[in-house]
Amino acid sequence: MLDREMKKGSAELLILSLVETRARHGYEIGKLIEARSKGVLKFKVGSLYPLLYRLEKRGWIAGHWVEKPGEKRRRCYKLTKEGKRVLKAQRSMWQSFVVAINQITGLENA
Amino acid sequence: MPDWKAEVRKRLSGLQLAPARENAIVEEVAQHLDESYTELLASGMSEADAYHHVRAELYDGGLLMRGLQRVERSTNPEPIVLGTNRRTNMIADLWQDLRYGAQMLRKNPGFTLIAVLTLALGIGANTTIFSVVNAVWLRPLPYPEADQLALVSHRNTQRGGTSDLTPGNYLDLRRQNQSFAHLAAFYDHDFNLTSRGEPERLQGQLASAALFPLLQVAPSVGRVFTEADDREGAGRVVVLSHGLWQRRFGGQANIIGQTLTLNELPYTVVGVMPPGFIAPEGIAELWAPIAFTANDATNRGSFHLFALARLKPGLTLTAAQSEADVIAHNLAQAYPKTNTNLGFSVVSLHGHIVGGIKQSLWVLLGAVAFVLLIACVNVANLLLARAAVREKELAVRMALGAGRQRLLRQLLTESTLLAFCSGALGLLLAIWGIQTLKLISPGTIARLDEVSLDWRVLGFTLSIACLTGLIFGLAPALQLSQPDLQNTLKEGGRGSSSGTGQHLRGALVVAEVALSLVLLIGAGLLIRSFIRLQNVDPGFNTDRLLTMGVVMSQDKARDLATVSNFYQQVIERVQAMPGVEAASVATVAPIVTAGRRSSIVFEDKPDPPPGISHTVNNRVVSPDYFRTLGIPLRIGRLLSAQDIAEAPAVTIINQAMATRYWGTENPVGKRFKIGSRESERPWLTVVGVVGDVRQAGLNSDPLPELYSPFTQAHQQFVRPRVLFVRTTSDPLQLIAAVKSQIWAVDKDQPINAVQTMEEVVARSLAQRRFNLWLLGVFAALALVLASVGIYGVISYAVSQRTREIGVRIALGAQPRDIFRLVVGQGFVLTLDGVVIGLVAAFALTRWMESLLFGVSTTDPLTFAGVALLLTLTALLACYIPARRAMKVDPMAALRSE
Repeated sequence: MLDREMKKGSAELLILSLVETRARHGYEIGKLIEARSKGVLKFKVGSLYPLLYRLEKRGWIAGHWVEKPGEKRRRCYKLTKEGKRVLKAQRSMWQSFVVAINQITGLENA
Repeated sequence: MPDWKAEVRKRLSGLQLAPARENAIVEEVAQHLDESYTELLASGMSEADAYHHVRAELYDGGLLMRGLQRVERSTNPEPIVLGTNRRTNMIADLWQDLRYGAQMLRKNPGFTLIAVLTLALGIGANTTIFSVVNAVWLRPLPYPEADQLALVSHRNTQRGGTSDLTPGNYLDLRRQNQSFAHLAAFYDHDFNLTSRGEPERLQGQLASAALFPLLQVAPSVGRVFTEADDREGAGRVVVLSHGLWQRRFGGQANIIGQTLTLNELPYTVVGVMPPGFIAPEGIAELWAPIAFTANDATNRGSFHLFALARLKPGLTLTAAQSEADVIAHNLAQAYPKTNTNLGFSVVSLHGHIVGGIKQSLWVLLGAVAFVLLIACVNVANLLLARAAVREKELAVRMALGAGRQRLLRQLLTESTLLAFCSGALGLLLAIWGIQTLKLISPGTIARLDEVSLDWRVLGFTLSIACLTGLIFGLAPALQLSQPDLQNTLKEGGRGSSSGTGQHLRGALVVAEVALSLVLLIGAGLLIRSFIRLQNVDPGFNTDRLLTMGVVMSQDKARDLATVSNFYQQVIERVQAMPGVEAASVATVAPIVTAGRRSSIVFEDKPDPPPGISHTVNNRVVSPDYFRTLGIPLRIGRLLSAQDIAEAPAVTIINQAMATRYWGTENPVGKRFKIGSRESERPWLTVVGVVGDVRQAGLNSDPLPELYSPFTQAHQQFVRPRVLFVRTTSDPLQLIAAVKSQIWAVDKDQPINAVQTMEEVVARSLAQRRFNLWLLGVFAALALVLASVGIYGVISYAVSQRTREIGVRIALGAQPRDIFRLVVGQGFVLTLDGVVIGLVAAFALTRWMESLLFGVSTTDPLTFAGVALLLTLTALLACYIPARRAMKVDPMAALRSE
C-alpha cells in the first residue's frame, strides 16, 4: 500500500477520472479503485465520503439521488464541466510529475 | 442486518449539521456500510465478524468525523478580487471595476487612444446620421398636433400617380366632406416687389384663409387673413414671413397697415408670422388670400392646388380616404369628362414630406452601422492582442479565487468604459459632423436645417456606446475569462490560448473585410451611377450658358403684345451686347422641371376615351431658343421671327413626340390642338422636329414635348420667365451688363435666380453628390479600418511565429517562401471575407435601387473591381509584416526562446 500522503494527493484525480465517463455511487467508486489498483489502493468510508463531498462542494462533481425499482435509492456522482477542466489539468500535471520522478529515480530504464 | 443508520448518526452527532444534510449523509454512508456488510457475508464471513469489520471501518480513529468536519463546516471563502470579498455589494464592485478599468486604460495610453479614436469615428458617424433621421423623420412636424395633418391630392385610379388638385374639385371636396376639421388650398405664386429700393422677385403663396387656423400657428404681429379677406373682390392683404420682415423691412414695428406694391398692385400688410414658421409645401416669404372666383368653381382642368387637411379628432386617414373615395366617385358621375378615373389621395403630411428621403436615410444608416461594426471588430482585435499580456494577470486573479463571472464583469466594465469615452468623443465628432453636413447639403433634404442634438440623439449615442462596449468586449472577455491556469502560470507569460485567440482574430478580420466590401460596393455603385449621369447627353449644350429669372408681373403683362414687346426688346438688347452669341426666353429652364403639361387632340386621330389623354410637355419659347441652347433640328424648320400672332399657329415638336404619335411617318404638316377638340384654340401645325432634351433632370427620360413661339402663345397666354444668354467667354462676367440691359427696358423689372446652366446641372445632381460623398467617406473609413485590422492581425501572427520563422530560415527557407507564408495567411483571410462580402452585397444592394442610375444593383464590374481593390489593399497591409518576417535573424529568434 502506498504512503498515506501520496494517496491523499492523488485521491482527487482518481475520483474525477472514475466519474468522467459515467455517474457512479460512492460504494462503486471505492470498489473500482480497489479492483483496478489490484488492491494497492483502498478507500475507507471515513476518507471516501469527505472527499466526495469536498469535490462536490468545489463544483467539480455533482451528486444526485437515483432511484431504481426494487432497490434503495443511491446517490450518484458525475463530473461537471468545471471538473472536466480540472481533471485535464491534473492529469497533465500528474503525468509530468510521474515522468520527472521516473527520470530522477531511473525507474524508466530499470 | 445491523442498524447502520443509527451507528452513522451517532458518529455525526458532534458535528451539529443541518437535519436535512445529516439525513442525506446518514443514508448514503449507511448504505455503503450495508453493502460492505452484505459482501463480507457473501464471502463466507460470520455475521459477528462482518459486523466488527464494518464497524471498525466506520470508526477508524474518527476519520469520517474529522473529514466531514473539514468539508461540511469549512466556510466557503468568497473569491478574493482586488481586496474585496463583498460579493453582495454590486455598487462597490462596480465602482471598483470602474476604478480598476480606468487605471488599466491609463496604463496603456497608446492602446486606449487608438481604441477610443476608432470607436469615436464609428459612434460619431452614427450619431450624425441618426440626428438627421431624428430631425427629418422621427421628430414631428413643427405644427401643433401635426399627426392630424394630411395632404390631399388627386390620384389617377387607373394608372396610379398623383397630381395637385383642381379648384373645382377642391371646392366640392371642401363642401361635401365630413372628415376634415379644416381643408385649405394654397399654391406657389411669386410677387414682384417694386417701389421700395431694388425690385425683387419674392417667392410667395396664395392660400385660403383656413390655412393658418388649420396649422394652428398664430402670427407674431398683427393678424392672419380671414374668410372675409379670402373672397373675390375683397381688399388685397398680405401676411409676411418673419425672415422677409427682418430682411426687407428691418423688423419695423409699424409694418402693419403699410402698403406694398406687389405685381403692380397695392397690398396692405396685416400680419407677420413667427420666426421658424414655414409653409408645409413649397417655399414662401409671404402669403396672400387665394380668393377663388366664380370661374374657379367649375375649373376641373387646372391641376395646381396643394390641399392640406386637418383630420377631425379621433378620425383615421383610412376613414378620411374612404369618404374622399365616395366623393370622388360622385364627382366622376357628375363630371365624367373631367373626373373619370380621378380619385383623391389622403396621405399623412409627415409621410409625404419624409417619403422622398427615406431610402437615402436607410442606406446611410446601414452604412454607418457597418462602419461602427468594423470599428468594433478592430477594437475587439486590439483587445485580443492584449489578451496574451493580460492572460497571466487574469490567471493569477483566478487562482486567487476570483470567479469566472466576476472576471467577465470586470472585463466588460473595462470595455464599456472604453466605449463611453468613445461615445463622448463621438458626440463631439457628431457636432462637427452635423455642421459639415448642413454646409455641404444640397438643400434638397426636407427639414435638414432642423437637425440638432436633442435628448433622443443623446439617448441614441448612449445606447450605441453601451451596445458597442458589449459587442467588442464580449468575445475577448469570454476568451480571457477562461484561461488555462496550469499552462498560463507555468509557461512564464506565454498564453496558451493564443492559438484559439488567433483563430478568433482571423474570424474577426474576415467579418471586417466582408463588411467593408459591402460598403465599398455600395459606394462603388453610387460612383458608377454618378459618372453615368454626368455623361448623359442633356440634349443641349450647357457650356457658357447664363440663365436668369425675368418674370413680368401679372399686372404689367396685360396682353400678348406688351409681353412680346418687352421680351423682344430684352432679347434684342442682350443679343447686341459684345460677348453674347445668342439670347432667348422660355417658360422654364431645362433640367429643372418638365414644365407645364398639356393634353392635346390630333386633327387626324380619334380622341382618347374619357379619363385618358395625350399629355405632352408644353414650352413656350422665343424663336432663337434652339440656337441659343444648341438643340439640333432634325426635320423641317425652326421657329422664325415671322411666326407672329397674325401668322398661322405653328409648333415645333421633339423627337420623342414625333416617335410616339407618328412613328416613322414625317410629322411635319400634321396638326393638333391643345385642350379639347371643341375649344376655341387654333390648330397648331408642326413645322419642325428637334432633338430631345432631358427637361426633368439627367436621370429622367425625355418626354414628348411641344414648343410654341411666345409671340403666338395667346391661346395659352403663358409668359416667358427665364432668359438664356449664350456667351463667347465666361458667362458670369456678363451678369451686371445683362441686368442693366433689362433694367433699361423696365427699371422695375425684378431679376432672380441668376446662374449658369452648369450650375443648374450641378444642382440637379447635388442630392446624388451628397449621398455619394457621405457613402464614399464611410466606405473609405471602412477600408482604412479594415486594412488596419488586417495589418494588426498579420503583424501579431508574425510576432508570435518569430521562432517558427527562424527555424524555417535556419532549415533553408528562402525569404520569398517566408513572404509567401505570411502574405498567404492574410490572403486566405481576405479571400474568405471577400466571398462573404460579395454574397452579402448581392443581397443588400437592391435596397439602393432608387439611388442608382444606369447601373444594375449587382453590376459585375463594380463587384469585381471593388473586390479587387479590397484584396490589393489587404495584401498591401500584409506586406509590411511580411517584410519584417523575411528579415528575421534565425539565430536571434532561436536564442530569444
